[in-house]
Order: sequence, then structure tokens, then C-alpha cells
Amino acid sequence: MLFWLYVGSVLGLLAAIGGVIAAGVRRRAFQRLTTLELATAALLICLLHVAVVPWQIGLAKVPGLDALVFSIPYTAIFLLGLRLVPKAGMATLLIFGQGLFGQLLGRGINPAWWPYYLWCALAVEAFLVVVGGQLRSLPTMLGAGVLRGLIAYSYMYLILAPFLWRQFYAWWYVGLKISMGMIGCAIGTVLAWRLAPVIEKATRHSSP
Amino acid sequence: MTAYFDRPSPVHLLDPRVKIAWSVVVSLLAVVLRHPLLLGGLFALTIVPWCLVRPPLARLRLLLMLVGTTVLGTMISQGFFYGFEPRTELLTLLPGLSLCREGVVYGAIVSLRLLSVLAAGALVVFTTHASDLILALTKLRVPHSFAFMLTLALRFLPETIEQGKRILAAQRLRGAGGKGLLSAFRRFRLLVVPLLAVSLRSARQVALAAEVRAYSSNRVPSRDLRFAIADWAVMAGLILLTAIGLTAAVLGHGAATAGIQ
Repeated sequence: MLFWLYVGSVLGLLAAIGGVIAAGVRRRAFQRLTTLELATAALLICLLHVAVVPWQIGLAKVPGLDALVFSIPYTAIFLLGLRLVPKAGMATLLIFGQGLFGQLLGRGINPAWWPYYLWCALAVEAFLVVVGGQLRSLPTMLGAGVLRGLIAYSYMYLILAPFLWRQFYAWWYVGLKISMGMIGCAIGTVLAWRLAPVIEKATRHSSP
Repeated sequence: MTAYFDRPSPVHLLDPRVKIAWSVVVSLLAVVLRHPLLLGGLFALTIVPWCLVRPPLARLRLLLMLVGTTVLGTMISQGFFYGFEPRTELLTLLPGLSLCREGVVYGAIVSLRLLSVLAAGALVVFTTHASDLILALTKLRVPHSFAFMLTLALRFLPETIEQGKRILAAQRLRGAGGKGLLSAFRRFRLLVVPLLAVSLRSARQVALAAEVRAYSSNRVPSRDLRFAIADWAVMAGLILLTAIGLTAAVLGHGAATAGIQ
């Protein structure tokens, strides 16, 4: 029964992907990615992978706080990436790409995790379609960042853990994890918002 | 940086697609099987190819560390945050936060599921070079531009780490440092701007080089993957294993663990 609930979430994901693609096509949001944008996405995937490494000691080992600590650098780099390449599909490339990259490098290929990455990406893509594809102001950036955190931790602890891996947690602990993750995403967003103009300026003025 | 190690083992010689299929089959069975004995059997099965591979000591230590932290972490987290009744308290840390026996036992059973997936997944990345895995993904119809992006990310990884170390060392020499979480975030802020600026320049160079060499998504890979007899034999074994596992799950072997499902 629990497994079928997970399967239901995957089918829901496919329907939602169809919906977002349809909305994107209607708003003419899809553009082809150039080679430079693909290379930038590759670099950002690499940075997303590296960003969490220094935090894997100390406070990140405390259950509950780990969600806060990991969310900050991840969200900061992720939103900086969306500011650098503001195109539909970029959020999916970054989140799914980083997930698959991590699997290729060490965790092992495991398709059971792919819906998790896609749900997180889809939430951000849908949000970007709604706000017009641009993350220029702090409220829109906060919306994207916190939404990713909400979806990521909710899906992880309310669907993936109980329905797929059959790990059950007390409700207060799940609530704590989701809240901590969202707070971390909010801090990461503020960091990205402050750094984005500097990085955009540095990128504009650099030559190959 | 990558988990891969080179060794002339039969597992190394298998087609990467077969190894990916192995990982997928074990993931599926780990999810559908519920009885502790069946999960234990699945875990034992995932250990067999490791005996053929005979990993070097350093890799084995890494693997055992992963196994140890997975088992311990799951047992402790389930022990403390297990949300079902009955609960036999073993240790109370704070009011409302206690380690319970049922949670620890349940954590150990869940660990078998996680360990099977970990052992199967790790086998793929320990015995297949990342570039071969990307080639296999391309063969499995992953879009070429996506595979190109993953290849580039692999190429950027050592360079990015090296750049990051260099920038951190330069900043340390200029007096930036300190301990604690706040100073760690300050260092992160100081690191990320120069690192991104330098890395983006490198990305531009790579993109330009690809364009100059007429990179297109229609390119034909320089190497190809072909199934050998051993690959077909393993695939047949995997199909049989899936059929047995699914039949056991459908027949309801091991209806419940810990009485909560």
C-alpha cells in the first residue's frame, strides 16, 4: 500500500510536468540553451556538489540542524545559477543534474531518487512560469528558494522516507526538519540576493 | 574525487548498462520486499559481486565507513524519532526525547534495505569510470546535451576544488580566517564571488573551444558499448531475480515488520 502511494506521487509528478510544460509553451518560456549556457550549468552543478562538502562536519551532524546547514550554501549557489542563466528548464538542469552527478561520483545510480529531484525542480519551474521567469527582487528569490526547501524536505520526510524506505519519524521531528530546511533556504536566498549583483558584474566584464 | 578504481575483475568488464540494471533491480527489490529475512538475503546477494571485485583497502575502509554510518545513523534516528507504539524506553535525553528499543530494532531492519541499495549503487560507481557511465546513459537515451553537461561537470570538478583551495589559501594569508559557524559563512561569502568569477571564465573558454570545434548534439561518440555473452547472462539472471522478488512480494511474504504496516 505504502509503495503504491509512492507510485501515485510519481504519476502525479508526470502529470505536473505535463502541466508546467504546457504552461511554459503557452507563455513561450522555452528557449534553446547555448553551448555557453550548458557549460555554465555544468560548472554550477559542480559547484553545487562542492558547496556542501565543507559543511559535512560539526553542526551538520546534529539531527535537525543538518537541514539548516546544508540548505544555506546549496540554495545560495542554486539561485545564483538561476540569476546567471534565467531560462526555463535551468532549475531542472541544476537540481536533476546535481543529483545525477552526485550519484555518478559516489552514491551509485538509483532511479528511486529521481522523482525527488524532479519534484523540487518542478516546483521552482512552476514558480518561475508564474513570476515571468525572472528572479530580480528579493521576494521572488525568497519565493523560489523557500519553495524548493519546502518541497525538498516535505517530499523527503512525508513521501520518500515513509512510503519508499519505510523510515517513520515522529511528526514533531518532521516539522522541525522542514522548518529548519526552509529557514536555511531563506538564509541562502538572502546570501544569493546580496552576491548576485557582484557576480553578474564580474561575469559581464570578464572575457574568455 | 571519484570512487572508481581500476582492477581486472569480471565485474569491471561488464557493460555499464548491465551494472545500472543491477542497481535498478536491487533498488526495486529493496522497496518491495519487507520481511527482514528476505531483506537480509538481498543484502547478502549484493555482497557477492564485491567478493569478485576485491576492492583496495582504502576503498573498503570508505565503504565500511559508509555502511557503519548508515546503520548507526538509521538505528539512532529511528530509535529516537520512531513515531509508533509500543515504545520501550532505553534512555531518556530530554523530556519527550528518548531512545526506544522498537525504534532501534526497526532501524536495523530498515538499514538492510538501505545497505542493499548502497552496496549495489556503490558497485556501479566503484567499478565503472564516470565517463563510461555517461556513455551508458547516452545509450539509454539520456539527451546528448545533458550528457555533455555531466561530462563538463566532471572536467570542472578537480579544477574547481583546486581554485577554491587557492582562493582560501590566499585569503588566509591576508588574515581572513577564524573558527565557528559565523566565520565559516563569512569565508563562504568571501570564497564564492572570486571562485564563481574565475570558474565562469573557464566555462566560457570551454564553451568557446566546443563551438570552434563545431560541437553539435548530433555527434557520434568515439567509443561504443556492446553486450558480450557475460552481459547477456547477467541480464538474464537479473530478470529471473526480479521475477522471484516480485513474486515473493505479491505472495505477501513477510507481511509486516514491527507491526506497523
